[in-house]
Amino acid sequence: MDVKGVISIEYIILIGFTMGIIIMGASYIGKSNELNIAMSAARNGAIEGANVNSFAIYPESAFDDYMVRKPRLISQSSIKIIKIDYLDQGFNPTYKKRKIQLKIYASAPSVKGTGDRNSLGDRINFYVRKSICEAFGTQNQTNKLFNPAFSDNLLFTTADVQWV
Amino acid sequence: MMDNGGALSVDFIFTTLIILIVIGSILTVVAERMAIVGETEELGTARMLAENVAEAINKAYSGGDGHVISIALPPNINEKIYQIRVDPSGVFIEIDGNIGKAYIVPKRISNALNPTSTEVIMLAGKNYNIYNVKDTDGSNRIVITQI
Repeated sequence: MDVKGVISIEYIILIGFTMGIIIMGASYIGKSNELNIAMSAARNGAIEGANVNSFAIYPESAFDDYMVRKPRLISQSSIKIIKIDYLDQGFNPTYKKRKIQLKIYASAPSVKGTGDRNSLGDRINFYVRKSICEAFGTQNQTNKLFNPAFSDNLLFTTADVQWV
Repeated sequence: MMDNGGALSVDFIFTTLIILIVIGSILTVVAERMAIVGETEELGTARMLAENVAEAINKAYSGGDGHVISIALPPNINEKIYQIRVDPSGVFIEIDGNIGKAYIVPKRISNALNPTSTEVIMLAGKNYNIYNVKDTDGSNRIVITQI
């Protein structure tokens, strides 16, 4: 009797077929997962930006500017992130990555001025892009405003915050 | 002959792969959220401290001549050193390169060492008395002294 291991041709074909499915599945899941991670990071960043705005504790340069030009922002505000949408803008030949534009919907009923809201929105968008770069470790691939933000296969920009 | 050896089904391998990917994603999100919680706590504590100092100053001022309120400042906020600066425009808290401001009512502020000064620096971990002092011209002034 032959006591050595034997593998049938059916088994080899089955394993090969299975590996093929797993590799294709992993590739698809990996790409979807990248966008999921980016959206989670975007939400984290939006919350962080809203928190900084809400507590009205800013970096020194911004604080000095607000003291002169936008005194309303020196006081606390109630800011809520409503939702984050994304728009797939297709392949970007410059960066050779798929471009995703993020749009944040937020509410700040106690801040009425357009200029004030623009500053709040810019800060939220900044933290969104920063958070994405930190999630993928791509801070050194972009500029100091983290615009655009990169993941492995995607690039992210932010539209102006929509105040609702 | 019955096969008694271990066996892994394709379903099991595929499910394990998906579970590992999901767990990896969740861990990333949780770590990021925890970091944000820490930063938010820092901002919130700093804001509350500035507001508490401003409230103590306003209470001492509205309490009238001789009213005194003591306030103890914590040694740090989230393990970070901070500083509070008080001048007639408000209470400013400075931490980690960031500044926040709380508004106050009185327009005359000084420390005991220099009655003509208009700015008082309050240091982390120190205790202070906030006095309402009536000046010779009849107006009231807030004097902040370290205990």
